[in-house]
Amino acid sequence: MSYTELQVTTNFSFLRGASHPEELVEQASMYGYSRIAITDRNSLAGIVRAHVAAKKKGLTIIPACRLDLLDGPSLLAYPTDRDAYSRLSGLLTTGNLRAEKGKCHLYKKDVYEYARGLLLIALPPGTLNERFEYDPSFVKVLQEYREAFGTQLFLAASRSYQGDDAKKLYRLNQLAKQWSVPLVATNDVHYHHPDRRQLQDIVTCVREKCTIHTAGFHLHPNAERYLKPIAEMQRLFRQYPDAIHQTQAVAEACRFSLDELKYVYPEEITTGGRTPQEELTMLTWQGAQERFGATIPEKMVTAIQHELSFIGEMNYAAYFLTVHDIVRFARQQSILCQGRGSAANSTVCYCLGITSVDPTKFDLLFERFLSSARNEPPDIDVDFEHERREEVMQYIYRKYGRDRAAIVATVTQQHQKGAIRDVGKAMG
Amino acid sequence: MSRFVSVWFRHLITDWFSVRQPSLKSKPFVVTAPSHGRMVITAVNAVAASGGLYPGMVLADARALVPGLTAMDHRPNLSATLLHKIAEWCIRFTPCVAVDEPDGLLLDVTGCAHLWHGEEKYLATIVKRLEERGYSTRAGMADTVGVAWAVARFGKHSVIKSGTDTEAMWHLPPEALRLEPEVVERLYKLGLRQVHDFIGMPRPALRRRFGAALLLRLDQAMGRATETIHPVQPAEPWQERLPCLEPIITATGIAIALERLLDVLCQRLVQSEKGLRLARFKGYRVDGKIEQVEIGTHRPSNNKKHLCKLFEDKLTTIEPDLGIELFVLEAPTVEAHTPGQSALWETSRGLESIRLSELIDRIAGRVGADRIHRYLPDEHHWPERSIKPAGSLQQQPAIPWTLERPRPLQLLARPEPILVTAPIPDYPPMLFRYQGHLHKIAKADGPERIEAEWWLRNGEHRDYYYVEDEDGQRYWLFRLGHYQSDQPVQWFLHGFFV
Repeated sequence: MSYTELQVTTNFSFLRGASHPEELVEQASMYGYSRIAITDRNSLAGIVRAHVAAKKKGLTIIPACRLDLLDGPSLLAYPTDRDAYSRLSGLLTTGNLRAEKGKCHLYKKDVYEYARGLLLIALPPGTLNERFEYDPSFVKVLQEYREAFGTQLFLAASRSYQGDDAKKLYRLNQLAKQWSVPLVATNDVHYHHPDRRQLQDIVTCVREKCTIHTAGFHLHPNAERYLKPIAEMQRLFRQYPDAIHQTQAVAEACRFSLDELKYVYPEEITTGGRTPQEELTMLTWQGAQERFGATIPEKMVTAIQHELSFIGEMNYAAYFLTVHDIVRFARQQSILCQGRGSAANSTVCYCLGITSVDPTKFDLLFERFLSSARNEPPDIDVDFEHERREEVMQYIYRKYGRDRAAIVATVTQQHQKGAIRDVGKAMG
Repeated sequence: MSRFVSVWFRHLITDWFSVRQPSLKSKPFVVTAPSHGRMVITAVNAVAASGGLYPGMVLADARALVPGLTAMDHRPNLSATLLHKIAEWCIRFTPCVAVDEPDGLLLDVTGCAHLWHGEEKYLATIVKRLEERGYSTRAGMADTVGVAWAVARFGKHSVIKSGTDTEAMWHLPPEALRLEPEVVERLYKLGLRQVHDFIGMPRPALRRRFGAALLLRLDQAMGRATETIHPVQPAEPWQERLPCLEPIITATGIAIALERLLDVLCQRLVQSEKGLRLARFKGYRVDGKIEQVEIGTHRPSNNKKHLCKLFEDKLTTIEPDLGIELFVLEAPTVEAHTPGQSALWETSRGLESIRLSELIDRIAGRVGADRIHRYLPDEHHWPERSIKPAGSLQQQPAIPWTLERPRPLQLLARPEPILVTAPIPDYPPMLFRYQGHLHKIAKADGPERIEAEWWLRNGEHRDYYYVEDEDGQRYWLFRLGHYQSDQPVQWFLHGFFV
């Protein structure tokens, strides 16, 4: 009888988890887990690093997330296939667009809308009421979830060591039977090892903006939310072995892996029915003539041919066309713009007018810009005149559609200096 | 106009030795300290002084002059300690008494003398009382510290009438100005043997020849420069004093004194909308001892009747002995107290009820205030820290009591070790032995695991179990740390449920 941990919060749930995805994966592999799910709060950000680390250890990561709703109990959501994954991403995007930066506003009805292909685990409240029962409002929502999600819905059960575990499990089991929502064991993992409790407490303080001495009940009374050995989980749920079994059922159903994802580039508009590569080749040679005059130096010809063939090989032509188009627009509107960074090592970029480092005067290292060894998509930085940047952005929005272009999102990470300052604050 | 008294103990150290050893009184004796390999005299008693001995003399020389001289060892800091003690004793004459090293006291007696029927009588009483204690005393009273100091040591009349300070200084020697010995010597060399010889000289000339200190001392004596004194006991703002003409010996007398003082103090408290939380009633006995009783209240009170009742039980502990000459009532802790509407007092309920807090005060008076506690919740998971004593009966809890987890009605301040039989590793116990009795556990719940608060103190976590024995008694037990097969398991009992 095996077990899969289905509720793992990494430090990508900002200031909630206390362990890196890599650490959690490593610990899981040591305990002989074959799969674990990563369920950060309203975010899929942690799964990429977990996925990379898991590949090295021969583990499978179930990409998932915890949906904290504004009008109902939280749900853990596991996409069973690629379509479900894209729906889950769409759901999160909807939530993010609604709220200010760093927040995500989701409601029950959003989940109902995007729920196809998702498995969902409802998280019960942490405490029982004075009659040792779950609050009737939770029972009501559970019923509602059951109607909306049908057999996709499960109910989480955790051993939190808060004194009333036996009562809680008993009540959850009752609810599970009554509403035929299978019980699933999880350990609500927040860190890979109990020693991380101190860090967990500190990030809690940073999150709640208090010091360790004033944090009081914001802190958890114990350190039980760590990744536990499989045998220990089986012992803790010895009275409810089905809850352990169910973890496997959920894990089996979630066949989707990040490996299935691939980047799809928007098709660039070309002239005269040419392929992007043909278009790029044409534009480059045109540009080369403008730059170097009728006779293009031999050295440049070789360089351009080398670059074009490489771009063709890696299928990056469309990207170059995109940048070229944006720069052309800017030039038309006489908005100052200038390519910079490693792109200046490219003769093609010079010919397209994106950069202006004359390759005849400097020896350019194309490999600094692109190389098959680096295996990452090209990255051309272009600076636009500050005051008119908005015009360029509007142009991009018009061309690609508002919801397809994005000011690049960054996942905020605590950097060393800020982190040390925050810990200092938390310690008072 | 301020009035000051300077008290001078001519033979402070030797008098102290005489008090402790009365046989010394009539003999010449000195106090000596080693200095540069010789024994040097630091103090002489009156008899020795009349034999021509003085401090600074070498003991061997003194022995030549006065055969059979007794020498005592010098004690460091003795004079400071003595002066401090005497100063505290002198608070019966005025609340503002300061030590004037090395051998005197300064008393700010502004507005005190009339209680003793005039300044002459007042000063005479002070001197008489100090002499009775065995210290030869000289005292002076004047408008300034400087003149009081001067007349105590050099004057003929001890009480200088207000406004006649300058004349009083007229014929005194320059030493009377508290000057450095070198300055005094220089004045004498120039034939300036009395204050009036140089008091009229141009100030720049005086400053050039004798330094700024001389001018300052002159100004202080003339009242042109202020001089502050540092009382040994800072005056209590909430303090009332009642000096008695005749020492009080009877319990009724003491009760009347208390009532009078309470009357004045409560009136002052009411006027400033304050109430006292702590009150101290002190009796200064004729023999120098201080008798005192203290009461505390659970809410600020300025109700004279109530406070009087609180004191009532304790007054019997005051032993007047030969009599008490001064009563002091002070309130070290005073808090804001908004007067309630009288009608409401009778009907109010719960903790707000004055009658409840007054009842608690009375019980506290019987069993001791340290045995009545009120606790408020504190935001800590660790059980010992989850409660804190309340400051008053009215203090509202900052956070609500947590009711989510069972907590015993009675929590032991220190968990008591018990012997327990329990299946491993963390199943509820089956039986335990406490104070010789075996308890078989019928029902149990848990564990509730509580980790030590690492930022306050490191330590192992506790696994708490809520258990019921066969008699239906419920207990709160815990095991310290994880079960480990190679170590004895430690179990404790930490509380009782109802």
